[in-house]
Amino acid sequence: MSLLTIVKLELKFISAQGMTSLLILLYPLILMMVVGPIFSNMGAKGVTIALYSTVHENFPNFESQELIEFDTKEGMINSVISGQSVLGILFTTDESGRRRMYTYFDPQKEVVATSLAMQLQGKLADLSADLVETNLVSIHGSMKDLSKEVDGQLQKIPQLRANLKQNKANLEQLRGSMQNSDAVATTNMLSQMRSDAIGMSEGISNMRQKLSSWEDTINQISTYDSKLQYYDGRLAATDSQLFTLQNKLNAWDIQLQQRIAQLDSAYATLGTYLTIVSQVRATSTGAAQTQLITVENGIIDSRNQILSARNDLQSMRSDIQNSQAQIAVARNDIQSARNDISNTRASLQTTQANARSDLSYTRSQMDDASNKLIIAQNNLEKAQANLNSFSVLSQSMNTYLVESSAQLDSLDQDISRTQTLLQSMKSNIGKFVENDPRKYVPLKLESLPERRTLRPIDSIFPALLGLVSLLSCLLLPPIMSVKQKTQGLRFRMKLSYASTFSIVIGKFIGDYIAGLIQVMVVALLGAIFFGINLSANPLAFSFALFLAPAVFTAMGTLLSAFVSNEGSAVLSSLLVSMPMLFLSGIMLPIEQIQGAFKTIATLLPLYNVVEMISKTTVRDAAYYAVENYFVVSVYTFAFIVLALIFWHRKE
Amino acid sequence: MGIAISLDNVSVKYGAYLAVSNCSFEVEEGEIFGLLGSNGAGKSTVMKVISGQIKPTAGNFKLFNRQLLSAYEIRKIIGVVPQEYSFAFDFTVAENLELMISLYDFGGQKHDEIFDRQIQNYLLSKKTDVRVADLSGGYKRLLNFALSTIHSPKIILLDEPTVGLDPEIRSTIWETIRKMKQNGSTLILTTHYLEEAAFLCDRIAIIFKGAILAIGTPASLIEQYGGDTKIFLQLSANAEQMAEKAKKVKGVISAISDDRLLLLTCVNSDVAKIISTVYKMITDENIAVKDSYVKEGTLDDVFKAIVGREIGVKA
Repeated sequence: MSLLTIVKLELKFISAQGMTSLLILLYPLILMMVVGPIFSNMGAKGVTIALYSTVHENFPNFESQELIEFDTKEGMINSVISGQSVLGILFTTDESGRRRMYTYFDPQKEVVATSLAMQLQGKLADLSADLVETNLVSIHGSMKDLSKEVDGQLQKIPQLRANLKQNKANLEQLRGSMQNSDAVATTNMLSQMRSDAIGMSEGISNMRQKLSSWEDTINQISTYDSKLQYYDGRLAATDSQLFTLQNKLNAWDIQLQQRIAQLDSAYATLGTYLTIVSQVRATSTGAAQTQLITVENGIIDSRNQILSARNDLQSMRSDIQNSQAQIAVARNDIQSARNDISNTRASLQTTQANARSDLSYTRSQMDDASNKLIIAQNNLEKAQANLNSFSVLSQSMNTYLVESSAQLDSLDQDISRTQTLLQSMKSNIGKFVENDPRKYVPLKLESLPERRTLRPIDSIFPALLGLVSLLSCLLLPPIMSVKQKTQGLRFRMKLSYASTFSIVIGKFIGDYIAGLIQVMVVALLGAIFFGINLSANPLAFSFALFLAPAVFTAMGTLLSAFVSNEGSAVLSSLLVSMPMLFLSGIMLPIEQIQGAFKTIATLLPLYNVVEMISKTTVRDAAYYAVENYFVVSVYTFAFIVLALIFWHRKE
Repeated sequence: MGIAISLDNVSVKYGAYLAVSNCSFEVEEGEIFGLLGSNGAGKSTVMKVISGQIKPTAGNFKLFNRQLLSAYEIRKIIGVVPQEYSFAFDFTVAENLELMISLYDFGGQKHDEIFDRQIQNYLLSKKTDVRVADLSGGYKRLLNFALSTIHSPKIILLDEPTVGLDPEIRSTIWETIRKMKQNGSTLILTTHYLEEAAFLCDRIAIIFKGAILAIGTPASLIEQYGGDTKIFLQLSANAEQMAEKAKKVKGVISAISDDRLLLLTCVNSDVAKIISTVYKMITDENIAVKDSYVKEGTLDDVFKAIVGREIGVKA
């Protein structure tokens, strides 16, 4: 109940504030009525354009704009700086003769200047299209014929190159035939033969030397025979000595045999004596026995010594017998060697005789061959002389053939290059011919027929509506709050039974209704007087219209918690609204804002309000306004909650 | 009668500034209690404490022996008549009243009853359709009263209720205040007009720099702090001779003469008897009393005496 009372009080209070309320609420309406007619007409007309042209041809005619020509570039620029002209144009040609157009304009008039420049560019594009129609199209036809001719010539080139290749092959064959001709082969053969003859002469000379060496060797055989004869004599003497020694050894063996028999006899005797002594000793006693034992031992020792000597002698006999056997073997060997030497000497003498005979024959044969070789060499020299004259002729022919072949190669390369050139020409002409010359006309930027044409008032309308909501809804709650405070109504409310919630929400609703009425009036004025189309998305637009004053009224209600007088109310509203005006794309396109500020700008309430109105009216894209509805609703809720918190703290 | 308001060593600080210091007093139900003090003495702060607009920094504060009441409970008990006009100037009297009655959430029938009651009680019946801005000061003040007492509060705080009003309207307001008392309301009154306080208040507290310096009935305060009574007599002759004789009258403290003017200073008690004796003495000497003026001790004297003592200046 008290909430409704506060709403009623707020509305009644606003309506009772006379001039203040009138100014706050009527100002946007006045703004609409002033802005509307100004921006209801389409486009810029009667705009002055400054031109400085160095090109001796007519500049395109600009309907509904005034074109002033200047003699200098500075004059043209000064005209723009002074504000006389909106757009300055420098029309000139560069070093390559290409036409160039430069624009100069005041950055603050960029929108109009760019629009005019684009119109001008479109006219120049039309001009270029005319030029293409009159000139390039006939060239295009000629180039088509040329392309066909080039194509014909290109088709002949492979046959031409094949003929050339055949001629070159014939030359190569001729050259090969010449190189394989008899004269040359003979020359080569003669040369080889002369070389072989020299080799043979050298071989014969070497063989002669060898034969002399062989003769020395044959003569050396006589020396060997003498030496073999000497060795045979020496072997005969040795055999004689061995025979003598053999006899001596026989004599010594017999003597030793005798001595051994004697020792056997002595040993047997001593055995007898030992038996006797043993028998005597066995019968004797005492000293005699002792002596006998000594004698007995002496006999035993003597026998042993005899036995030892006999063994030595026997051993000596064995040695002698062995020596005798060896001497016998040696003598047989000597005899065998002497027989071999005798045979060898006989063979040597035979061989020497045969060798001397063969050597003599060989020498006579070689002398004969050498003489024949000398004759052959002389013949070869003559043949060579005959062939040399033929060789000079052959070389001349060869050089001519090589040069001819090189010239054919060069000709082939020239034809190849000509072919490449013709192909390139064909390709370029083909590209040119394939494309219609009209395609080369500079593009003229034009709008799609689907694009709706907007008057400036249509474009401005969403921003205007957003601005109206911002200015009045933001200012109304703090101003009313201050006035209520001044008149003691805040004090009354505070001491009444009304809760802070009722007071804040009631104030919000009251101020919101006032703001809503205002934006609705502005929208209706726009629709009725300036033909703004609000019927594209009536439901979506209505929702946007309801939300727009809500967010700024909530913001104003929040501000009301902090302001104490009308000055601070106005200043705090300005403090909040001015940055939003600059950042929300109303004063400057949001696309010109960079970095973090752009993100901030897109999150600001005013930007989202303008966007949702724009999308639901002039842009006819209501579906995309959902995100803006959401942002604005969140802001509204947040501001109301904050207002409740701060009002409660203040109370 | 019980205690309606009780402040026990209440202190209020605004940051480092001590607005009220150890303030203690009690107000009985049905009593009109005056708070006298110069600007910035702390009267308004004490009123705000009582009306629940601010909480004391220290001390205890009770309404009808109940402590720590919620703001809503305090609002139900207390009505505040502010010094400034607190209403919508561009609304009519009826509109203001109706809106404010609506804020107290009374039902339809009671709404109308309250409207009629307030219009009657505050003499606004002929002014209901008048735009408040067009009302005279007295009616504006009465409307202030009407708007503050819509919910029939048991305690009414009156902040300088007659400031800036002419004597005639002031007496009307006084009458209204007396009616409130008769209706059983307990009233706390702050005023600069000491005679108003003396006329209306059952008891008065003198507050200075946030501290209560004295509390009592107006008479007791005057007796205690009001000083001597002055009697001015203009005689036809022999003022000097009469001054000498008057000095001998019981209760006369001093008597001085200047030409035919006789000024007597006497004790406050038995002033009437002293005047009678001196008058008889003068007429017995065939001297005529052409003019006379008696100046008794007033709250102004009390105030000057107490505050002057506090700041070291003699009243």
